[in-house]
Parts: sequence; C-alpha cells; structure tokens
Amino acid sequence: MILELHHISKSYPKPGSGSIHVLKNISFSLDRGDTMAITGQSGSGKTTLLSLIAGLDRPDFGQILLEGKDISAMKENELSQYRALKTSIIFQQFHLMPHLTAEENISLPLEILKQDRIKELTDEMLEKTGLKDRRHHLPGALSGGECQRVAIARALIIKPALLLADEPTGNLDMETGEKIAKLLFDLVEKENKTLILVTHNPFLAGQCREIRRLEKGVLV
Amino acid sequence: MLWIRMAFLQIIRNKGFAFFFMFNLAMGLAGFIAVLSFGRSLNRHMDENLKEILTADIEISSNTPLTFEEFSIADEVLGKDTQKARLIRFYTMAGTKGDARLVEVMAMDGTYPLYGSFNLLNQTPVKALEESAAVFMTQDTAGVLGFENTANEPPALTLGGKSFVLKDFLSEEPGLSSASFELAPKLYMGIRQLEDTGLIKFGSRVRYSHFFRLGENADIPSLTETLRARFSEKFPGPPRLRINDTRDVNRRLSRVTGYFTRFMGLISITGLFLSGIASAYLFRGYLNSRKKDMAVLMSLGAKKSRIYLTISSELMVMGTLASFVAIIISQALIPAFPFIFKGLIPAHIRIHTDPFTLMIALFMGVAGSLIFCLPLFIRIFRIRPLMLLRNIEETPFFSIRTAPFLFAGFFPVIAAFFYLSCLLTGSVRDGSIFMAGSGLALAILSGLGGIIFSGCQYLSHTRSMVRKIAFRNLFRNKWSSLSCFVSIAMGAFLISIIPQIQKGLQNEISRPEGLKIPAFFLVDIQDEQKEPFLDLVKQEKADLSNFSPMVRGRILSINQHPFYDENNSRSQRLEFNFSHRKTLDVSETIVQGRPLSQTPWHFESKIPFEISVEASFAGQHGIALGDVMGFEVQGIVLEGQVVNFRNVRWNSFQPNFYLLFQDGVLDDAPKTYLASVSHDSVEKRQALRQKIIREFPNISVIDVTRLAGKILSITDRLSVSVRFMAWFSIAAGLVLIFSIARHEALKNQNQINLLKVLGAGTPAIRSITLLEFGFTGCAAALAGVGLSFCFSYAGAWYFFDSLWRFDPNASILILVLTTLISMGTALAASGKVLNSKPAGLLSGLS
Amino acid sequence: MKRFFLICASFLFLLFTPLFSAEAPVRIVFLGDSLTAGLGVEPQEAYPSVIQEMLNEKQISHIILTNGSISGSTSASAASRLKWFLRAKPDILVLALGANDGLRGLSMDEMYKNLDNAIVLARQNHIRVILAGMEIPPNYGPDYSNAFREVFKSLARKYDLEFIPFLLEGVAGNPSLNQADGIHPNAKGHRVIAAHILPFILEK
Repeated sequence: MILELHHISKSYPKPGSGSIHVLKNISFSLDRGDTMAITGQSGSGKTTLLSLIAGLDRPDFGQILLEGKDISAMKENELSQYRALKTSIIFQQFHLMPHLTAEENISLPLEILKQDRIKELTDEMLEKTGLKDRRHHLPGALSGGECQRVAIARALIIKPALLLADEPTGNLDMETGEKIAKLLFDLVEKENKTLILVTHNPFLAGQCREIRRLEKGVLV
Repeated sequence: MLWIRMAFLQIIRNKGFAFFFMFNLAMGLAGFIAVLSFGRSLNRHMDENLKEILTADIEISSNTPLTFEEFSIADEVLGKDTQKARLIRFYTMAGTKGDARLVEVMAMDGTYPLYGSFNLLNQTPVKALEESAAVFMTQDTAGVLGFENTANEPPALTLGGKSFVLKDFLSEEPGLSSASFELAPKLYMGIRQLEDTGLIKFGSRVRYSHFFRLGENADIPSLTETLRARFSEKFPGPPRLRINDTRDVNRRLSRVTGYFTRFMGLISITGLFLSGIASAYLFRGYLNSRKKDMAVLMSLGAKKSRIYLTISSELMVMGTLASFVAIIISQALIPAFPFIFKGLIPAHIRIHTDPFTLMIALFMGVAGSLIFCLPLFIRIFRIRPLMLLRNIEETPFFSIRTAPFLFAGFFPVIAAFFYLSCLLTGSVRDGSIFMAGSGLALAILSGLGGIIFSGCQYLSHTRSMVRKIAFRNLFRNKWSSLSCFVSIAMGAFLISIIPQIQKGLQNEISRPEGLKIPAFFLVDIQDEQKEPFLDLVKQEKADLSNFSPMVRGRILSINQHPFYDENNSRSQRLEFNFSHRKTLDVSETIVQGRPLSQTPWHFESKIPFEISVEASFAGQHGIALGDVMGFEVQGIVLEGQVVNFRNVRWNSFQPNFYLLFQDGVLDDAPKTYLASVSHDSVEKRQALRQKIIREFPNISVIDVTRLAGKILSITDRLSVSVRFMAWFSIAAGLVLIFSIARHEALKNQNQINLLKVLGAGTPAIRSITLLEFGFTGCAAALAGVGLSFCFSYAGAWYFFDSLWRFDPNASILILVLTTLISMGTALAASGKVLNSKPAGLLSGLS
Repeated sequence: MKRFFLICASFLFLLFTPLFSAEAPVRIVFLGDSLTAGLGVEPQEAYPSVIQEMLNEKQISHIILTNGSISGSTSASAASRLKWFLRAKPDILVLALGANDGLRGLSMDEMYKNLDNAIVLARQNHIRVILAGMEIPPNYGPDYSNAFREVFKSLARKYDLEFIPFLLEGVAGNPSLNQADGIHPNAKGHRVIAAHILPFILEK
C-alpha cells in the first residue's frame, strides 16, 4: 500500500466558541497506480483532507501511513523532508515563482533537494509536458495552460510516490482544462503514479478509477 | 464622503494589513516628530541663552542719547508694543577714600534686563536701585574696592558728586555684552540716580543702550537688517548707532550657534527625507498590493479617476490615522524624554512639539499618500487591465512620449519636498542644495543598485542551493529588490551623513582637551618688564600661556593693491596686531600651506618674509596663499608673503593673532607683550591679580573668567546636544529602516510557503531569507555609508566651513545595524510563516 | 603708492642726512597713541602727516616729521620706544601719551614716572620736548580728572617744557570732528588738531 488512512478526524476551533468537525473518522487506502477523485460541496472538507494527506497539517485523531510510515507522528523536520521526497502538489493557482523561468521553476525542487542530474531530468520533463520551446519564459509570459504544465512538470520531476492535485483545471477554460487533464492522466498512467484529485469537475473526476464524495466530513 | 466610507470599509475588511501598514507609517512619523521636536527645542534653548546674554532681542546703542527721530524709526520698524529697557554704561573711578579704582557703572531702568535676571544675596528687590541712591555689586568687586567689613554699617561710596549705599551683593548678574572683556568690575545703579552724580556732561564717554524684546514669532535678523537699512538711509555716512541682535553677541559663539542651527536644520530635513522615503515606500507597497483590485475595477469599466479616488481615499484615511497615532505616541513620549535622556541632553530644557512640526507630520501622512503615489498611479494606469490580471512584474520603461506624464507625476512630490526643505533650512539656497544633493544621491544609489543586482546573476551561478536561490531571487526581482535597496541605502546615506559632520562640529565646539581656561588676559606688558613679570608668575605658580609679542602696524597692500579703498568692502580698520611665535599654540593648526621658516629673516634680505594668516581673516579679506602683503610698522615699510593659513580653536580662549610673522621681523620693533594666565584656585587668582596690579601698575588685567565660563557652558551644552541629536536621528533612521525591512519581509511570505511545500527545510529557508535580506541590507548600507562620506565632506565644506571628521565608529555601527536589522526583521517575519502551516496555498483555504 | 613713498622717504630722511637741504634739517618724532597714530583714518590723514603737508605748503622743507605712535599704547612704553627712535637722532620729541593710562584708570603716580623717565631720556640726548596734555572724560570723576590734568602740568612746570594743554582742544566732544566711536578724531578732526599744534612747532 502506498497510502493508508485510519480513522482520521479533524476539527477547527469555531470563531466564538466550540469547534467544527471538518473530518469525521475517515479511512481508505490506495495502492500504486491508483487514482482517486474526491468531490464534494464547498466546505465539505476536501481541502482539509488534502492538506492532511500532504502533511501540511496534522489530524486530531487517526493515522496516515505513507509507504507504511506514519507521517502524522513525524517530527516537523523529518516530515518536511519526507513530504518533499514522497509527495507533490499541483495547485489550482499554479503557484509558480513569478521571477523564475519555466525551466527554473521545474528544476527548483531538485535544487532544493540537492539532487543530481538536474539538467537532464528538467529537459526530460520539458519534453514530456511539451514546454521545450517555452523553457526560458517567465510565468507572466505563459498562458494559464502552460503555467499548469509547468506546475505538473515541477510536481513530477521528483518522481513522488503520491501526487496530489487541488482543482488543477479550476483556473483554466474548458478546452485547456481538458488538455491539461489528459496530460496529467497520461503522465500518471505512464509513470504508474498514485494520484488523489480534489475537484468539483465531474468530467475530471470521471477519469479517476475511484470517485469518493465527502459529505459533512464523512467519506461516502 | 462616500469615498471615505468606502475607504473605511476596505480598511476594516483588510484589518491585518491595514494595521501593519499604519503601524509602520506611524512609527516612522513618530520618529520624525521626535527628531524635529528635539531639534527645534534645542535650537530654541540655545537661542534663549543668547538672548539672555544680550538681555534682549535687539540692542541699539550709541555714544550720545538717541534722538526723537531715531526713536520713532525704531518704533516704526519694531512696532509700538515691544518691551523696552534702557541702560547707560560708563567707566569711572570709585572706591574708598584715597584709593580709587576703575569701575564700570551700569545705570539701568526698571525694566532691565528683558531676558535673564539679577540674583541678590539678601533678596533686596531690584526696584531699590530706582528709588534710592544704592548700588549692587558682586562680593569680589566689593573686595577689590576695599569694602572688607560690611557687617556693621552699610558701606557707602562716592560716584562723582553723590554718595551711594551698597545695598546688596549680586550672586548672578544678567547679560554679558560683546565688550565684556571685563576691564573693570561692574556696579549697578538706577538710571534716575545718575543725574546727581554730575558725571554725565559734555565730553563724557558714555554708552547709551536701548533694548527691545519682541514677540515670539518676530523675525529678528530681518528686523535688524531693516533697522540698519532705515537708519543708514536716513543718516548717510558712517553709522552712529550700533544695532545688535543675538548674532552679534559673540562673533565666534554666534558662528558656532549658526553651525548648530544649520546642523539642526540638516537633522530635521534628514528626518523629513527619511520619513518621506519610508512613507513613500510603504504607500507604494500598499498600492502594489491593491493592483489586482484596480485591474478588476478597470476591467469592470470603472473610470481611472474613480479608481484613483477609491485607492487614494484609502491611503489618505490610513495616512491620517497613522499620523494621528504618531502624534499621540510622540506627545505621550516626548515629555518623558528629559528623564529618559537625563545627562545626555542639556538640563532644564523644555522639549515640546510646535504646531509646525505637527503640521508637517500630518502633511506627510495625509497629503503624502496622494503625492507619493501619483507617479505609481500614472505608471499603473498605462498598463492594460489584462496585463495586471496576470502576474507580470512590469518593468519600468521609459519613452519620450510618456516622459512628460511621468515627470508630471513626480512634480508634486518634488515641489512639496522642495518647499519643506526650504522651510526647514530657512533658506531657498540651502533647501535647493539639499534637494539637489538628495536627487543626485538617489540617482547614484539607483545606478549602483542596478549594477549590484545585475551582478547577482553571476553570484547565483553556484552549486550551493541557498546562494543560488537567494541571488537568483535578487537578480530576477531586480526592480523590487532595487526599490528596497534604494530606500534602505538612502536611509543609511542620510543618517550617516550626520555623524561625519557632527564629529567635525563637535571637534570645533568642544573644549580642547586638557585646556586650562584662562582667568585673565594681561595686556601691555612692556619689553623691559618681561623678565620680572615671568619671575612673578613663576613664584605664584600660575599657568602662563601664549606669552606673545604684539606689534601694531598697518596693512598697506595686498599684491600691490591698496588694502583699503572706497570701492571695496574691506573694513576701514587699518591697524592690526602682528606677532611672532616659535611654535604654534596647541589651539592652532595649519590648514593650508607650510609652516613658517625657523630661520630668522634679515632686514637686508631682498626676499619678503613669511606670513601665517588666520584662515577666516584670509577668507574675509580675500587673501590667497602666495600673496605679497605690504605693511607699515612704525614708519618702516615691509613686505611679506603668505605661506600658510592657520585655523584657531577659538574656544581655547587664548590670545590669538590674525597675522604671524617669520622670526626676526619684529625683533627690534617697539612692542608690548600679551599673555593669558590661569590659576587653579579661585582665591589665589584674586591674590595674583592684586600682586600683578601692585608690581606692574601699567599692566591691564582683563578678567575673562565670566565670559569664558558663560561661553563654555553654552558650547558644552551645544556639544552635548549635537552628539545627542546625531545619535537620536541615527536611531530614528534605523527604526525607519526596520519598518521598510518588515514590509519587504512580509511580501516574502508566499515564496517561503512555496519553498516549504517544495521541500526546503526550515534551516534552508532561513538561510535563503538571511542571505537575501542580509545582502540587500549590507549592500545598501555600504553604498549609503560610502556615498555619505563624499556628500558629507562636500556638505561640510559648503555649510560648515569644512568641519569634517572621519567617523569610522558611527559608520561601522550604521553598517552593522542596518544589516542586522534587515536580517533580523526578515527572519522574524519568516519565522511567523515558517511556524504556520503552508496550507494557505490550497484553493479552499486562501 | 604715493604714501608708501612718503613714509619710506620720511624714515630714510630721518636716518640719513639729506644732501640737498638748504637749512640744517630738524627732525621731529611724535610719540603717541591711537589719537596720534590716526586710528580709523588713512595714515596721511593723521595730524602729524597733515602738519607735514602744511609745512610743505609753507615751503618749509627742512622740518621732517616721523609718526612713532602706536594705538593702545600707554605711557609705560614711552622710554623704551624713544630709545628706538634715538638712532635717528631726532631734534624734537612731541610726547602725546597718557590718554590710555587715563581711560584704563591706571595709577597717576605711575604715569607721572613714566613720562618723567621719557623726558629725562630725551633731555640726556639733547632732544627738546613738546608735551601734549590730555583731558580725561568727565565721567571718570572730578578727582581723577584733576589728578590726570595735573600730571602734565607739573611735568611741564618741572622741566619748563613747551606745553600744549589739551591735544584735542576744540575736537573732543564734537560729533562732526569725531568718528562714530566718539573718541577718535576723524580726518576733519585731525586737520583741526594739526592747525592747533602747528604754531608750537613753528615756534621752535
């Protein structure tokens, strides 16, 4: 198993008094190559679940095992290292470094992780995402679709065990969104990656092997 | 009103950022108010000191009583409602029977002194002098006049034909006029008692003084000039009346207080520029953060003017709130300053903020928001909304077509600063120079910053991840790095100009180290008295300094041109004292040229002898090195050549000469000697004086104790104030740098989050932040401090007669502190982000 | 340049016997203070120079005047300064010192002694002395004024000197003849003094 969630609960303090139970006793597991879409209304807890899986936040109860290791029990430093090596996130807002070129944005994780063969791997990712002739452009000079391609390339370059995507086509028009979704799923399939996708978009969710729906903090 | 309401709404919705912004701005403005209040209060304090010395704002004096016509001119110029006082002073012989001594009679009316006061041992009312034939004097004077035993009966002394009773002893007397080399001790009496003495009649040598005290806000220097002009217009020829204001109290003291005023002007204007830079930086930062909203509004079809109104209303509301907060903070803190800084600032000083200062602070907050942001608005409005929606870092570009608009945008800023500069320095010329200097510095620093950040590209070619990312950030974010760099560098530049000039000024003002303040000047020591006199001084164990020969003569010509003719403005003073000394006094330094030759000059030699000229005298009379000067000493015509200029530490209180001649020139000329004497013990001082008078009755003993004491107490206070103000404004400047760094660090939040998500560990992120900010801060401080050396040197040359001292300590301190503040604030800001969870990047939680 | 020449010439003439004079030259030295030195006026406007000018106008060329006055000097310097001028072998000394002694309230006994010494020195060197008396402003009190006046009178009596009772006769106290300080004569004042002194010199 790549990812196992056991009885995950999370609540946030309510402004005023008391607290909101965002996630209630959630359990599921994913194997290598699995793709899962999590849908649900705004406020149903999708993003909270994603941030817990990504290790950006910690659950109140329960365990999250990534490749068998309990990330919810890790110390902050260990966690950030592990997170960086094993997971990648693709954001709705792309979150590219505005002052770095496409190529530099893609190679940034490798630089941070001080890995070798940066040039080679970056060229490979540029090739795979079809950005070869846009490598020297700054994000501002790229279209939205191109930006998300850069983000996907950046996510995949570290060869993560688990890929997380937060509304990856939410900021794109329909046509571009479809193209990006195709690229994402092609790459996930080709590289046999595990993907968790949070989206409203039924078309996008439909391309996953498994679709789960969050309703008031409960996975159905 | 709608705009203001909308603005309030926006601010309330955006509480966090608005509060942060207002806090930074308020801090900057509060610092500015404090600096300005301090500077202006200290200046006022010094001004009041000078007024107490003159006892008035303006003094008109002459040898004969003022005529009705002269009075009416004075009234016309100064206004009827001025306070007036009258004093008649003259020398006379007084004393106990048989042993008359020279005294100076001060006959005053009931309103004298207009500033300062009498302090009497037995608290006799000063009015007693008007009502009865009485005098006041100090106990010292009483001793000199032989009133030893005053316990039994009130002693009396005869002045002219009238007998006066010694009513009380003075422990403190007001005033200290320019001529207060006290040739004789003073007696005070009522002006009404004067007539019966019969001392004032045809041929009497009397000085009639009229004192005027004007309203708080009177422009005294210009009134003095008007008076002089009116009198000379009405009565052509050499002026009969002498019109003095505080600037004339003591030529050298007023030069120093003039420097002080300028220094305070420099500090205020520096404060103004600093707070201007900081608020401009903050306003721009705010505007940048609202760029997207503007683009949205524009895309929705809102008119540019409406957007401008919306945003500037927000800025104005925040600016106004910030300035009120600043005013409240400063008003709460300033009254506590004399206690906080006890010992660091002159005692008994009232520090208060005048309305002028508050107005400027309000102006900076309220109008500043509009005028600082105008150039940015103009730039933003030229960009299409679509471009704004994307995350483009637009690079400023320049074209002939748009240049006029850009200039128009900058014009109000420049105009406002120019106006305030002139207001603060008190002169259009000084204001313009400061403006031009700052403009030049800004241009140089911007250029330098451009080069530095372009250079970062090369620094980023490294295998080290931290260095690579940090320098690449700096290079790629060139424009935003540059604005931060320029703001910090300008801050460092402005605050480090101050200590360089302060050091020079301090050196000029402060007491020379180990200096013994002379008690007496001894004048007219004859050649043949030289040896016995020196023996006496040795016996009495007094300190004799500067025993100098003095030869009187005329300056006839400079380079064959007559020294005085009607066409040039040289003073009609033709006789000067010449001297010679084997080695220069400690208070003297050669500032230009070489020392005088030690080889005695011979009358037979055809070459001119060598002359050393005091620097200010040379300046005043346009004398240059190498000039050949013609002299006449006792009928003999001599020629000399100027080989050096000499600076004299004026507050050494040593007898000094404008012109020193080479050895041998004055050997045979009829001369007298001049010396100054100090003695550690006060009692022995008086004994020494008596002894000198007894043994050498022709020697005039001039008491300079009081003058030296008063002037030194003022210069000590000036010196303390100058040092304090320098450090205070450095501190205020650093606070501003802190607020800039804080703002810049906050902008960095997103990047830190992303780096964190991408796997950078906390230490790496800290290192990147530290390197980025440390490099910017350090480079900016280095550039600013370095540039300040050149500029402060030029400024010192222009405004402060080249009083400039290299001050490595202050510069290093500014450098280190600026770097540390940049790093520290960035670290603190990043720490907050590092400790929070980067979940904010996700769509649902932003 | 003219006045350089004048001063130069006067001193040189004083040192070396002129070859072209018809009559035996008479050298007169003025030993005085600022009043005689001409403080605040051009050197040629000081009364000794004016007297020289007047003599020239009268075609008297054998009388040569030297102004050895120093502003601010007191009677204490009289004897030593006279020694300096002895080298020029003057025939007549116009002694016009004392004003500063009076203004500074110095001892009258001292002043008497100082002037006495100078007169004795002059006599030893066969120099005839013209003593210029002074008055002290009335504000110094009648006693001091009288004592001051008496010093000159008694010295003149003692040595039977040619005596000018008051150097500033008709000038002192007159604003139109004095500078703004009210104590130093202006150029016009110096002309009045010169006219006042000239008869004493011509008498010799």
